[in-house]
Amino acid sequence: MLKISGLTKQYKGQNAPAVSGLDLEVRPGEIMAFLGPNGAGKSTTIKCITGILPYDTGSIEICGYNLKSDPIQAKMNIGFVPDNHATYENLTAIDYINFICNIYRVPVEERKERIDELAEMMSLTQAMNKPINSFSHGMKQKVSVIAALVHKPKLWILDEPMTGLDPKSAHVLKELMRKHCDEGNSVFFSSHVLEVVEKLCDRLAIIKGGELIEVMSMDALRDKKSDLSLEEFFLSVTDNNYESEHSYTEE
Amino acid sequence: MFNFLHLFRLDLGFAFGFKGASKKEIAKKVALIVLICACFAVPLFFVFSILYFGARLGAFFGGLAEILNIVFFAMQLMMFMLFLPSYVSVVFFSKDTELLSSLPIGKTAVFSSRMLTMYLQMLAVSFPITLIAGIVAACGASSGGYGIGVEFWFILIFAAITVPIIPLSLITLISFPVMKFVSLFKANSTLKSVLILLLYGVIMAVLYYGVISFQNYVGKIDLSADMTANDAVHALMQTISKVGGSVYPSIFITKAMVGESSGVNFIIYSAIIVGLIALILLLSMFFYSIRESGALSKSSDKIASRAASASTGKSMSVRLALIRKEFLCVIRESQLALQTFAPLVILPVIIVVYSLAFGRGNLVQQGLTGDISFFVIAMVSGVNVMSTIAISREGDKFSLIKTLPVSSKDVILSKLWLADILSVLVVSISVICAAACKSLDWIEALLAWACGIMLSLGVNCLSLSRDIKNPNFRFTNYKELVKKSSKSLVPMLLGLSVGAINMLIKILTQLVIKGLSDTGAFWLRWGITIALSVIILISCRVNRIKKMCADFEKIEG
Repeated sequence: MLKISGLTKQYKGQNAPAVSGLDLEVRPGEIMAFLGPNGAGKSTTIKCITGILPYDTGSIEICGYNLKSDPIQAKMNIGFVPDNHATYENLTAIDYINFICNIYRVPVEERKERIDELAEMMSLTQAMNKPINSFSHGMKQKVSVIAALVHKPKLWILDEPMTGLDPKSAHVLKELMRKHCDEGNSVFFSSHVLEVVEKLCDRLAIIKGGELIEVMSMDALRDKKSDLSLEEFFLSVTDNNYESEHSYTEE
Repeated sequence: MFNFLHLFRLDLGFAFGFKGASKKEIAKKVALIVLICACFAVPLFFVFSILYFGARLGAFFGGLAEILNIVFFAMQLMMFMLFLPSYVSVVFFSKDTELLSSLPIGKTAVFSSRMLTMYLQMLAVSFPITLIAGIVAACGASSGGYGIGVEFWFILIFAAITVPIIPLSLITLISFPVMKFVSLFKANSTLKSVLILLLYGVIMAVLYYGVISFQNYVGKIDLSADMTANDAVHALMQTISKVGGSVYPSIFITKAMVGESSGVNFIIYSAIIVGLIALILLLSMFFYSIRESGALSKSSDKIASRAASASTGKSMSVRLALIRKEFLCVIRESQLALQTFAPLVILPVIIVVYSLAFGRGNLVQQGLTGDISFFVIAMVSGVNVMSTIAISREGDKFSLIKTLPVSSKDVILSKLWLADILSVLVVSISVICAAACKSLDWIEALLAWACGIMLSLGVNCLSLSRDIKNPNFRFTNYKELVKKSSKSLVPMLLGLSVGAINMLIKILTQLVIKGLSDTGAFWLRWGITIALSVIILISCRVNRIKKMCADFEKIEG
């Protein structure tokens, strides 16, 4: 579904790359969490995958389409929820979703059902005709979620998706993520909320200093580190001494 | 006071576009401003020539103060037109109010800083013009044998400093009722923006109409066939005196300057200025506090809730969807809409009113109406906010477009085409107005239209490519973004240059290059103008899209 090989990205004027030689694969039907301390390279990686940032070396393939050589086909298979609730705020929610539908070529006859269903799930039906700039952060996040799913993407990418959501909406979002994977699609998300990661994910990847330091399934984690919670495990692997003591593990 | 100074320094930096700029950028900006001034020098040369000869005649026939006052009045009108949108932006649409409210800065400090900055911006334009006008008038009067006293120069500087207060007070008086009316439509942001634009146009039209009516009322020249040349000039000077003498309150200061009851007139003028300052401060402070309390701002609670079921809209092509999105994003942001669409409203108003005021056959205009109309059209062709900040206006939402499955060519063309549509509308409507008012005959109108379109299509592409190369996503409001963007200066300069060259060739063919027939002079002038427009169109537009796409890919929003 998503295959990243040797991804390297260095910002102008920086001495070290933000992401260096990153290899990662997200398989069909799985939810993968992307963890790491602040400044580890999570957002840079996600921005490269979604096409926001150009990258220096390596390759990114989405559903078999290379992001550099075939960016439109690659992006047609992505649904993205950014961490800053970015939408066109002068549009009404429905105007914005219709714009997204036009961009992703969603047939008119299929739109109404999908939009109504998603709006209902996100408790946003009553607000769809209002301008987004009158919404709270949580409501903007819901609009982003609807926009990301309205074209039924194969790969759903979320950057810190729980930020700003009320408990009910967070619960609905988790259900949507699971449902999305159950339909054979994939979810790749970054988060600092380890409880959510622990309960929801099939696999997790941990990045630190721009390099991938752990990729493992939740089952493997439970088997190997039964005496540790995910929080303790995360803290131990992101500790400065960890890299010298452990080698990178891909199950 | 400490906070005020900090804020004032910040506002000043933003207002004059030097905040955060390197020395090289500042030098570039200064050079561009000098070039723009050079382009404006051509029409200003006409104004000052008329002033010089008027002052010379005024020295003999009387009416020197009135002649000078006409120039002051024209400048006040210009200030009013230029700064009305800025005032509305600062007092009613300032987007950093929320941020500033959370900081330990008093409302009075914020307000004082903003008003003082605006006054200084007005002063930057009016001070040199007033000073030059005064010097020219003094030279004209002296050559006519009129003794200019030393008080003239002191009062001239005082006048140059205080004259902007008059249009600022008028702006303050007018804007509140207008914005109060517009706020009734806050539930519909598109309608609100359209209303603001229309009202802006109506205010300008009413203002100009008032000036023409006033001119017609007091400015009738009673000439008869048996008059001598001396009588005719005398009658003309009397009319000019009547017009200039009826424009208050600046007539008091011009009378003081030329030594007509200097003391009394100076005191009256000073008292009026003090009164106007008090009026500006009190009213603006009141409006600002109302705006801050939310009475005039957007209220999400009151936004009408329409049918709950969402409309699915129509299916459209990617480019059309992008163009629609661009248009809605601009029109629903009142401040941006005003900045973007103002030429669509104001340019036809200027052309119609100017044509009515100085139509063909008028003694004053001497066949220059058409040239000035084209100069204005060419100048506006070079300024299209839709293209100069096409990328930057996305702000922190820019990354969104990069995540969508659209090619950079689609994004760029959608932005460019929308800017082109606006330019074609502005130029076409303006030319039609100029032709309808007989300011341009049909051949001139056709040529002006063709040149205006070529110019605007060229500079739109240039502006967009400059914005793609160096976008500014960090801005607090659109007015600041537009003003800070030096990208608009080069395209404006191109438009201005073509307009100025067109006018200059006319002067040269009339005054310097003798022996050229009227038809020959006409086609020489328009031939060169067309050639320049074609060069700008081709050099700015051809083979640029591919390069723009490559630059767009490099943007890291």
